[in-house]
Parts: sequence; C-alpha cells; structure tokens
Amino acid sequence: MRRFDDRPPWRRAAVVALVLGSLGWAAHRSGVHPARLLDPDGLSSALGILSGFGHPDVSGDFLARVARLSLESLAIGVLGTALAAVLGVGMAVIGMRVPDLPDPPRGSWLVRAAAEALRLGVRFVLGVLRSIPDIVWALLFVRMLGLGPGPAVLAIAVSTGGIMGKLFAELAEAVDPGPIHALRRAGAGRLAVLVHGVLPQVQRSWVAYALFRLECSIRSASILGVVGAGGLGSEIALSVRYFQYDKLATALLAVLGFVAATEAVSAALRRRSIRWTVAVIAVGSLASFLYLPIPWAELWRSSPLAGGLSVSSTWHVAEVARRAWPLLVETVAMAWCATLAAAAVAFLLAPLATRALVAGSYLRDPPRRRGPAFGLGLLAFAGARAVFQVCRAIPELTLALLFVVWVRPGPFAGALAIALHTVGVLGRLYGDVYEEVEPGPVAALEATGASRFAVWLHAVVPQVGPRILAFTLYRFEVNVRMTAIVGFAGAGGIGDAIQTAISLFHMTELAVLLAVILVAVTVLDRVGDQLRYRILVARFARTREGPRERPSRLSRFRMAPARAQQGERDVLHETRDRGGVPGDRDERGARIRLLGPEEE
Amino acid sequence: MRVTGIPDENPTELQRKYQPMVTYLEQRLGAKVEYVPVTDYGAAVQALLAGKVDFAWLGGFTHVQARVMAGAVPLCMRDIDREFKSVFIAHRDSGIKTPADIKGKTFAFGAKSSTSGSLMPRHFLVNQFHIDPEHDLSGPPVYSGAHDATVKMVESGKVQSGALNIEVWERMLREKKVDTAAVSVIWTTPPYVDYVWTARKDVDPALRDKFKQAFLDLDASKPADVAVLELQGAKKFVPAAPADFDLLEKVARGVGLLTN
Repeated sequence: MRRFDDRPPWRRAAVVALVLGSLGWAAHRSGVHPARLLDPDGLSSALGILSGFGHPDVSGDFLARVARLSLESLAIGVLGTALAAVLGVGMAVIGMRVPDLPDPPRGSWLVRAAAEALRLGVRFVLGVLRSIPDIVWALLFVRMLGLGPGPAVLAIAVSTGGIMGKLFAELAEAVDPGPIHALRRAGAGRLAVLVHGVLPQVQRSWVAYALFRLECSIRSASILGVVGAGGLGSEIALSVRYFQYDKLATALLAVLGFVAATEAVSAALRRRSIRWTVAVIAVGSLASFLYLPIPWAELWRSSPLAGGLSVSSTWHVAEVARRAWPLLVETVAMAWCATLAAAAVAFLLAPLATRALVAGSYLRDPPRRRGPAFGLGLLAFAGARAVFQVCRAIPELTLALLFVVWVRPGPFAGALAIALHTVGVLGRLYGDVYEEVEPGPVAALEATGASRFAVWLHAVVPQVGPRILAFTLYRFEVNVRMTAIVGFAGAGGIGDAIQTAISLFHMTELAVLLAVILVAVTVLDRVGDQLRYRILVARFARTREGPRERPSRLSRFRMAPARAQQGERDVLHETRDRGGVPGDRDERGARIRLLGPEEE
Repeated sequence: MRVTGIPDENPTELQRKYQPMVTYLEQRLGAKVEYVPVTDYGAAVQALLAGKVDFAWLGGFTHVQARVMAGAVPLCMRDIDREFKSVFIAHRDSGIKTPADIKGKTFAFGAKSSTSGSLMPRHFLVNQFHIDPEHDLSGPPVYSGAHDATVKMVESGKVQSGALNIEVWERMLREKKVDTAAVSVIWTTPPYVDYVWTARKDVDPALRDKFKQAFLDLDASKPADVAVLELQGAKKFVPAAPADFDLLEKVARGVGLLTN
C-alpha cells in the first residue's frame, strides 16, 4: 500500500511529532498525574471500591430497590428513545433537502425562501439539541418537573432526538436519486416522493441506527439520576458520596446486567426484519409510558426556568466568554489525551479480542487446532472481550464518579473516565477491523508458520491504518461531547462550570457556556468530517487513475454520491460503536463502498 | 399545600427530620401538607420560584437567591439560626492548625450554594485569611455536595481540610459518627444569619401568618412539641425579617456567588 503513497517521507515524521507533541500538551493541560493512581491515598480508595465487589449488598430490601430502579432506568431508556425517534424523524423530514430534483423549483420565491429558512432553522435546532449534553437537559428538566423519571425521559428524547434527526436527514439526502427522478417524472408531489422514493431507501438504516441509540440511551439512563432524574443514578451517586461501596457494587452489577441484556435483545432484533424492531420498541415504550409515574401535566404548568432567564445579569458576555475559553481548551485537551491513550491501549489489546488471531485462523481451510495453546487463546479472547464489554457498559459519568474518589476531583479524573470507556468502545471496534481485513496476505503469512504476533504485526496492521485512524478521530469528536458530561461529577472541563452556573442561577454564564459548546461541537464535526474523508477516500483517490475525487466543499453539497459517502460513514461509525457484527447487509455494502478504494 | 427544603444531608436523614414536622403542620393548619424532596439546593429555590411549593426551608444564601429572583418572603427561623456558625475541620495528618495553613492544601466545601458550607467559609477564607480558593489551594476546591459528606471526605483523608455547618458537626459528634482521632476542628467562624422558612411571594398572607405562627408556638415545655423541636435542633422558633439577610446578600455579591 505504501508504495502508492507519493507523499514526501518527512510528512510521516511531522505527523508523528505533531501527535506526540499535542499529547504532551494535552496531558499537561488535563493535569495528568499517573502517580496519583498508585499513591497510598489513591490505592486505598481503589481497593475500597474493588473490595465492595467482594461483598456486595445483597440484603432483600436493597436488592428490591435496585431491581425497581433498574427497571425504571430501562423504561426511561426505551420511552426516551421512542420519543427521540418520533422527534428525529419529524425534524429530519422538515430539515432535509430532497435529493436533487431535476425540474425547476415550484412556488414563488417567497414560499421557497420561507421553506429554506424553515429548513435551516430546523437544522440549527437539531444542532443545539445534540450539542448540549443529556445530563444538562436532565438537570434543566428536573428544575421544571421536579424529581422523578420524567426529566430523564425528556432529556434523552431531546438530546438523542437531535442526534437522530441530523443523521436521519443526512442519510435521506444521500439516497440513490434514481427512484426520485422517476417519481418526479411521473408527476409525484413532495409527499409522494418522500413516502415512495426516500423512505423505502432509508428505513433499514434509520431503524438500525435507532436500535443502536436505544442501547446508548439505556446506558445513560442508568446514571442520569445523579441530578435527580430517576433510575439507578441517584443510588450510585449517593453510595459514592457516602463511601458505601457494598451498595455501589450491587448497583454497578445491576447496570452491567441490564446493559448486557439490552445488547443481547438488540443483537437478536438485528437478525430479524425491521418489523420486529418497530413492534418491540412500540410495545416497550407503551409499557414504559404506563409504568413510569410522570406528571406530564406539570410540563405545561411550569414556566421553563421561571425567574431564571428573565433576570439578565450585569455580567458582560465578553467577560464570561473570556473565562470560558480556558475551560474549552481544557475540555478539548482532556478528550484528546483520553482518546489517544485509549487508542494505544485498545490497539494493543484488540488483537486478543480478534478471534481469527488468537483462537481461529485467516486460512480458508484452517488446520484443526487443539491443546493448551489453543485453550489459552480462547481464554485470552474471552477475557479481552469481557474487559471491553465491561468498559463499554459503564457510562463515562459513572466512571468519573469513581475516578473522582480514586484520584481526587479534577480533569485528570475525567480524562481517565473517558479513556477507560473509550478503551471498551475502540477495542471492540479495532477487533472487528482486524477480523475483517483482506485475508490474502494474512493467510499467506500464516501459512508460512509465522507466529500469531508476527501475523498481526506484518499482515494485519499494515492494512488497517486508515480505518483505525478514522474510527479514532470519530471517537475523539464524541469524547469532546462526553467531556462536558463528566464535569458533572466534579471531573473538570466545561461541564463542571455548567453545573456551577445552573446551581447558582448564573444564567448569562450558562447561556455563554452552552453557546461555546455548540460552536465547538459544530466546528469539530466539520473538521472531523473533512479529515476522515481525506483519510478514507481522497488519499487513495489521488493515487489512482482517472479523475481525482478530491472533495471541494461545494461538490460535497452538490453531488449526491459525495453526500452518500458522508452519511454512510456516519452510520457506519455509529452502528459499529455498538461493537456487534453488522448484521445488516446494507451496512456491509455501505462499508465496502465507502472503504472501497483500498479494498477493490 | 406543599413544602420543601434544601437537601443539606443525606436523604434518609432528611426524611427522618421532616416527617414529624409535616404531621405537626397538618394538625395545626388543618390541611394536607406534602413534603417534596429535591436533590440540589438550586432545585429547592426553583421549586419556590415556579410555584411548585408554597414554603421552603432554605439556607441563608438560597433565601437571598429566592428573594432577589422572585421576592420570596422570610417567615421564621430557629433560635440557633440567628447566630449560626461554620466549623473548619482538618485531617490530623495534614499538619493544618489554623485556617491560614490551608494555603497550598486541599479543601472541601459542601454544596455550591450552601451558606454555612460554601458562602461563609469562602467569605472568611478570602477576606480574613486572604486565601483565594480558586488559586491558592492545591488544585481547585472540592464540592462534597452535603455537610456530612464533607466530614466523611476529610475523615478518610481524601481531602485535607473542609468547612461545614456547626450544627451537623455537633450532631455527628454526639452520635459518634465522626472518627475524632482522624479529624478535628481548627477554627469556628464568627456568627451569621442562616436557615429560614421562606414563603412564595403570592401565598395568601393569612396562610403565611398561620404557617409562621405554627412554628412560633412550638414550645419546648410541651412534650408533644419536643420531638419536632429536637429533630430541628432548636429550642424555639423566632420571627425573621427581610433586613436580617441584607448583610448576607452583600457578602454573596462580594465573593461573586450572587451575580444578578
């Protein structure tokens, strides 16, 4: 592969230097003190937390309470996701641009301008909904509705709704325009084009993505209770605050249990037709709606943030923004060093979680393997998968609560929490990448009797660079958003400041901080999109014959195929976050189309 | 009628403190009284502003917030609240003997909007000991979330020093919930005004007076009332006036906790 690379060799060195340098800077900015993990203080706290697992609280009373709260978390996740899907589809339909219609636009310019303004408005709202972390929404809704599961349901509905809406719209804009042109020539109206031209093409990926988000929602529903929003979260937060590690252990085991159960259910659903998924979510959300005691009427009775927003303070916005800047830098630094550290760990651990490498083979007709070495391989495989599974199942905020106890409050605790969770996500993802490499070179090396390590190093690793890089970059973008969340546990970053602003009613400050997050997330999205596009597509397109596919900014908005790649890339990354083998043929197809240039 | 209170201790303790009081109020007012639990101080203020509760047991600072934002009215307070104090505590191994030694050490406040666990300790640190909590400590200040949690943090050595409500400290001492070999008081603040029953601005004045009178009538010589008073840690309740909190408001603005 490298032979086709026509770039000067110093560029590689420059990139490596840049990455290492930025890592050093980011680690410094996040107050990284690895020694704190192992100093006597830290060690005794860590042992305290771990010893809780030795004797979890299994008294009948507490178990019953945990079971009830787990069920509540589950119901919150299901109902929240169902509402998010409704919101997301609705806003996507308004906010999307129908893939290039060939005929001249209809209606007066005024109507068209209004429609365009509406579309942009909806896109903006989607951006706001998804940029503001769910924990912030939860705290705001707790203030409006009072304690209970209602605020958590709404928080998930709006933040996940924003995420879904954006992605749904992008997927819809990326459909094959053929059927739409055909419908249009037959005289179909906008609604008919939508129903018969767009929806049939996107329904599979929409549903697959909603299912993936369901798993995420249930995970986050397990901890939103930190701010009083129902579910297990309040129990976890209190047991950490009062050092009751036996109770903490029980609650965390419960989280692991129901997250694993959800993943099993959604894996089963992915193997079936989408009707099953829709039916299960519909029944589940109806049951959740009936089960959860939510005072829906309160929503209309309470004025949002009564008193709060109306009292504009004498603070100068510029002054607040000046103080927000170092917080933003700290947030990005935390996300950057956490992502890089996690990527390094995951890169090295992932071979163990690759069945073909430790307990299988890339050969078409592998020899039968037996004996202790094979048994050990299976054990390592199961062990590595279990580690990744546990890291993934526990949300960042929960981990942050624990690391705050371990290494004291501050950004280092937050970076650790994000890194650990990211190890779980990336480890599984890298494992899948290793598993799905072009088998030819790997099998050839394996057939020579090379060691497993050599096979990985010389045949697998050289193939996977761009994809690993793209996944890691994508995760970095996600982690910037997550850093705002861990601040709620006192773990540094901009989230800490947001929580202070809310609790002290500093509304101007809150508004500025949220605006800063919105801008940062939007900018990073754009930059990340471009970078990943270059890594995955443009770089290889350059070395091939024929017209260059280098994307100018304009072409990405005009040409349906370019958009298609972008949308697919998102769904690919997000759906692969879940870690399962993609069961959906379309996604597989999409991936191959996307990653094609290096594999064709 | 609905009431709430700032969650300055763990939920079990709060439940224990509020139950007899709610029963007493129901008896006196002849109406159903519901205690609405909240998880953070701001939520108690918000509940009052949004009309979700009619009366709230607030701290001095949260009362000032409610007053500034929505003209809430102070009704009555415990005898001890007129001269309330905070204690500064430190771990024995930290080498901290006076608050001046806190410079360069780790320090824990209670909840961010607590009067005795955050506002006043901050005020004394800044204005009396010239220690800026944002810059002069080892790392940023820790917010434990509640008074008893601050004690537990210092006792375990997680944080070297902290400040909390003197009433909670003394009760924990009495109930032997503190390991006095590990943690001790290094300084007690001068007195200031703290906790107060606060009414929403638009509660009917007649009801307001009735509510206030119910508390003022609590009599330590009546066995029936003793239970309520004891749980509140008070001998009796006394009236409170808006002017009582003017100084607190000034302090809050001075240290930047109140900005509107």
